Amino acid sequence: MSVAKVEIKRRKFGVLVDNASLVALVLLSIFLGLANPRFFTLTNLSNILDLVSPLGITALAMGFVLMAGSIDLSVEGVAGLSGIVTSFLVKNLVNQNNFGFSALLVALLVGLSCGVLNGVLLYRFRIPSFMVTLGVGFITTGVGILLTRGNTIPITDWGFRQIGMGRIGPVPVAFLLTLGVFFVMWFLNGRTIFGRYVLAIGGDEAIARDLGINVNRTKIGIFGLAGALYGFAGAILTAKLGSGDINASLGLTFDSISSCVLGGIAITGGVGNAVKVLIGTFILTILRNGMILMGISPYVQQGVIGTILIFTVALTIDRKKIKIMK
Amino acid sequence: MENQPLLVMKKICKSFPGVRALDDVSIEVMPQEIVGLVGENGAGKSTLMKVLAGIYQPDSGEIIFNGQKVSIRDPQQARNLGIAMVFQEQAVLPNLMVYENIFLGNEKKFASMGVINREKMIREAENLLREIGITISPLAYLHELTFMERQMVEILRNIWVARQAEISNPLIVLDEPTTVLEEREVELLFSKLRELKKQISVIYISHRLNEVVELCDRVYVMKDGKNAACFKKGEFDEDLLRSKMVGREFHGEYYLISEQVEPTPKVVLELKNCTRKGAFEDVSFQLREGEIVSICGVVGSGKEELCLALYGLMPLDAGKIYLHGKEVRISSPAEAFALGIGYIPEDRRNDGLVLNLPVFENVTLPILYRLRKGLFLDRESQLNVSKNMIEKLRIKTPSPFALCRNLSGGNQQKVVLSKWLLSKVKILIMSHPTRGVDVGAKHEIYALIREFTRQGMAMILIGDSFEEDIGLANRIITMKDGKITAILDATTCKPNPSDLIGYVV
Repeated sequence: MSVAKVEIKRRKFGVLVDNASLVALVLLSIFLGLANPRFFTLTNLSNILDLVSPLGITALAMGFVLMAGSIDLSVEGVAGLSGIVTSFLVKNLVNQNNFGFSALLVALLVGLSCGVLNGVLLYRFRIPSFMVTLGVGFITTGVGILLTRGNTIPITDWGFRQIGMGRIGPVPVAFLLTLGVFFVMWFLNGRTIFGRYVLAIGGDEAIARDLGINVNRTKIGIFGLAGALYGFAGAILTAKLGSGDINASLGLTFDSISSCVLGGIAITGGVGNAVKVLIGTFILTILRNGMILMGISPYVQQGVIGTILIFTVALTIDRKKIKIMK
Repeated sequence: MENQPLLVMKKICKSFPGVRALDDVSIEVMPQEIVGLVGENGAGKSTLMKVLAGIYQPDSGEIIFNGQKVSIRDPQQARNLGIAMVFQEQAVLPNLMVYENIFLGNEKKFASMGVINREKMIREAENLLREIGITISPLAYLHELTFMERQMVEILRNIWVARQAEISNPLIVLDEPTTVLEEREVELLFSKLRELKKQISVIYISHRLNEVVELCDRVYVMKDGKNAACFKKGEFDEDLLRSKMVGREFHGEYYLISEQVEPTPKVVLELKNCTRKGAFEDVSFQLREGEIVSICGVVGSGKEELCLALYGLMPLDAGKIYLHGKEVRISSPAEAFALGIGYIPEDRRNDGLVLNLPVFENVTLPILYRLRKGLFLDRESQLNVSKNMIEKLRIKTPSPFALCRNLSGGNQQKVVLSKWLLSKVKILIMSHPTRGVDVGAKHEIYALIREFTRQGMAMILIGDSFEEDIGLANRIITMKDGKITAILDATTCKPNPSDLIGYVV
């Protein structure tokens, strides 16, 4: 009944458990540093920052979706489509357009619309989010292929390409953008009504609705925000790759979810924050990077990451809610 | 002003298909008063409260709150009026902190442009907690708190919401708030409630009559959906409440007592010192062939858990189960079924039937392995078997192909019964077999139960009322707080409901 009791209880679980993902990240870095001297070189660290972006952006978006107890499988499709739309709008080898950075705005809008579509379908038809977003993911991928007829759209706007390739000293521009998104998400998560409602819905949707929270509107907001960020990430990918390509975003859905899970976001919803997502993104990235440095076969790498993922989910999941997910 | 009641519910009636749940029920609650509401299970307490909360709409009658006639459409509106329910299933979010829970849904008061002023919220929560004298940190997560502390958070939230709407005296309904509390915590809750009484009124629903006597200024007794009595503090004690809660006319023939079977001496099931921590303790009894043993007790007495344990849905912490003299372990429903134990769950729509499958599929579900023809299912015999059952049990369905969801409650229950009849279980556990079933179908289900016992089936029953328990059973086991308080013979001489109530509350 007293304040003291609550504090004692917390201490028993420990600071280490609360920050398990950070501990894992530090241990992993130390291990990789010892195993391979190349790991802690400036080039490699800069390389890691480059690999973290724009994955960090989609992971942060996914983090919000997971915290609300849903899941979004449309990342690849939405990011892919937005990236292709971007490539058509900046200076490219296919048409005469040259809209420069305003193409970014369009990418955000394309993403936002797909995300809002996700949210609206979700509550109109009352189907689980994984089905809705899977469908929208396929549709957007299809539209992307239709637009390009399966080809890649090379871009020649060197200014625009800087958001994917540019570096300020050793720090990639794309990482700075990711960091910017991180701060926005951190603020939304911790400081706004919206962020609070995300966690409330993830905690127990029925109770949240009972207390007068507009669950449907909040969910449309969550998926819309996520979609816009996928669009942003898609534009960065196009800048990075130098062409609009539906395959550029391949694997982004899995990596976004993995990042969240490795950071300690429970896929059952209700717990997590932006810091954890970013940490998770770093864990996933340096895990890959480290395995490459150690010369582990890419096929084995996938297996290792899959295995780690399952164990992390087993650690973080709230089994009382498992019935909802089936 | 003091003499004007806060709440008046006048001549409230509410019917459901086949049952008159509330029949001209009236209650009043004064400002700063704690009013008890007692009655047997099914007496209409929860229906009345659901009408008050706007979950149900009354068929007739009126509600006057704070001197104004109101119609309450939904819980949201009830809350805005200053009427809040605190149920046993708590409406708090374990993943959020105390202060976040208190203000959830009302953050706008502490925000500009959607950005929350956390410090202001925490300070307000601290003040609120201090004012009521609860020493929990506003930054504690709800899952770190005890049940009672979470209850207080919920009450605080309701008080705060009422204050914001400038309602000086909100009404809070506490539904069985002490079921999972320890004695020390109950005392604490009571002292808090007495303190809070300066600014709220409480409707206190409980099966624990001693608590009602201790806490309440006034108490209403309900019986069969009607007002049975109302007492002021000092005018009532536990015995008086008990006698008013029961005392219905008892019609033996309604339960087909003339068809009751004398059980054979053969013991089919025996429990020895079975314990499940937090649910029941040291339970021992025997069940004989053709016998119906009914388990009586209030919600929280452990009777439901005991049945779940016997069907392998809840593991035992200690004790032994003997089946036909041989010790067995029942750790899953599949094992229970293999041992010849069947189970009719309380929630047949979710747990007893596959509602989206036709009747014949449901009927034959447990015996599909018997209806094979080589590798394949023999649809013909599946249909024949079910047609036979539909006829025998008089299941009213347009055809064997009708979906179970389209059947009435009574007929759904008959489908469940037919499954167990076909699968030839030796022991059947029935939890509220006639709940939500109309009178005619009830009678037919009783007839089927008698028929089952004639064939030697033994049954454990949790009835919907004491009358049902007494009427059907050969023996009655009463339970209270997880322990058996008495085992009464009901074969030759039926006890009275009022004899039982002393053992269960």
